[in-house]
Amino acid sequence: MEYTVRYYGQIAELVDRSEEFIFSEADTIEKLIMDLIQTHPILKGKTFQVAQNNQIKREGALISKDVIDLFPQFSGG
Amino acid sequence: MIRYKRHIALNEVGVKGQSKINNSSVLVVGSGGLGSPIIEYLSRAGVGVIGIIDFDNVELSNLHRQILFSEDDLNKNKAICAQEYIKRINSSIKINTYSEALTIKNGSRLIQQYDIIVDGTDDVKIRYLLNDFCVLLDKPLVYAALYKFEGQISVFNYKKGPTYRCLFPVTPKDNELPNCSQTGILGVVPGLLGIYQANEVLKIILDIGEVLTGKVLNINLLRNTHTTFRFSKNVMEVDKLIKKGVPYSDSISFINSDYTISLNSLKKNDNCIFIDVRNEDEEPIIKHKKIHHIPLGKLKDEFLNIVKDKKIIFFCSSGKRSIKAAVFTNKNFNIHSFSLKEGALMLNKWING
Repeated sequence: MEYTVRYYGQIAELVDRSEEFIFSEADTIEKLIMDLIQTHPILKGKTFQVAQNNQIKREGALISKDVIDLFPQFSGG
Repeated sequence: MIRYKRHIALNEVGVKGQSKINNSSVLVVGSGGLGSPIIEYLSRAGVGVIGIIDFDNVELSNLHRQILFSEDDLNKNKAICAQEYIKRINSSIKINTYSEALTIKNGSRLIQQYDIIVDGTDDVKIRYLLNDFCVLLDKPLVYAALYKFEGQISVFNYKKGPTYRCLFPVTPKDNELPNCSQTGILGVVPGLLGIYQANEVLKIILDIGEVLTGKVLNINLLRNTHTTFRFSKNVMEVDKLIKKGVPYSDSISFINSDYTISLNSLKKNDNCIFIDVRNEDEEPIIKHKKIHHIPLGKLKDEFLNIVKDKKIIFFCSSGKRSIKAAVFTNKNFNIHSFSLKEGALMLNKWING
C-alpha cells in the first residue's frame, strides 16, 4: 500500500525530510510505525504523535493513500 | 468608545461585542516572545483586566523578539516593564502584575481570578501545571509552543473540551525538549504565534468563528504550511484529574524549590564553585577561578570530571537551564547541588564587581 508520511519539528530534522512516499505492507498504524523505525532507526525511542488523515490516533487500520503525520511536542515560547 | 471604532464597525463585534471585551479578564503566563504580542494586542483591543505573570528579568538577548521591552528595561522585571509599556498604550484598562513564577502554591489563587488563561511560557512542566489548574478551575487555556520556524496552537478545556494532556499524554523526560536558548529562534516566529493566541482569546470573548478546540494547528513558517490535526478528549483521564483535585506531580516546576540558591545567601569566600550551563557564545562571558563551563547538553558526560568537594552552584541566564542541571545532578550523582536564582548578569557583577 502507498502512504504519504509527513514529519514535523525535531522529527523532520532527525529523518532529514518533511515528507516522503512509502510503499509498505503495513495495514495498521502500529505496523507502519514499526516499518518507519526500520527505515529511520533514529526514530527509535522518540516520542511523537501520529495522525491519520489529520485525526490524531494511536492505533487503527490504514488504507492505501492515507496521509500519516508524525509530530513531536514543542516547548519553546 | 472612539478608540474601538474600527472594532465596533465590524458586524461580528459591534457595541455589544466591544463591551464584552471591555468586561473580560485574561491572565497571560509569561511575557516573553509569545506573551509580548498577546499582551500588546489584548490591551489595545480593550480587554478590561489583564494579569501578567513573569518572574524573569529583561536581558539584551530578549530584545530581538520581546516587543514590549526596550534597552531601558534591562535587568528589570518583565511583568513590571510590560505594565509600564501598556499604560502608555491604553490607560483605561487594568493591569495586574505578578513578579513570581507560577507554582503549585500560587496557581489556584491567580488563575481563578480570570476568565481566560493564556500560555506564554517556554517550560513544558509549567504547561502541564497550567493545564491541570485550568481543568480543575474550569478555565479555557489558549496555548502555543514553537520549535525554530514551526509552531503549534490550540485551545484546551474550552467548554470542558479536550485538554493538553489529551494531546500530549506522556510528559517528556528532563532535557528531551530543547528550548529557544539552545536551538535559537527567529524573532518573528513567537510574534506570529502570539498574535494567533490573541485572536483565539478575542474569538472566545466574542463567541464568533471556530475556536481551535479539539484541534491543534501546526504552522511551518519556512514552508508556509498550515496543518490542522483533530484530537479527542480522554474523558477517563480528565475525570481522574478532577477527582484527584490537585495537579499531577509531573507538572510541578522546580523553580523556587529547595534547589534554588540566591547570591544574597552567599559570601565571596564560601567554598563553592559555579558551573555555567549556557552555550559557549552566550554573554556575558564570565572569567573567574571559581567558574567552570559545561553546556547543559554535555552535563551528563562532563560532570563526572568535576571534583565534588565544594558546594556546586549551576547558573545560566534566567535560571531555567540551571534548575534542570541541579535537578539532574541531585538525582543522578547523589549530591546536593544548587541553581543560582539571579543568573549570569548578576553573578558577573557579584563575583568580578
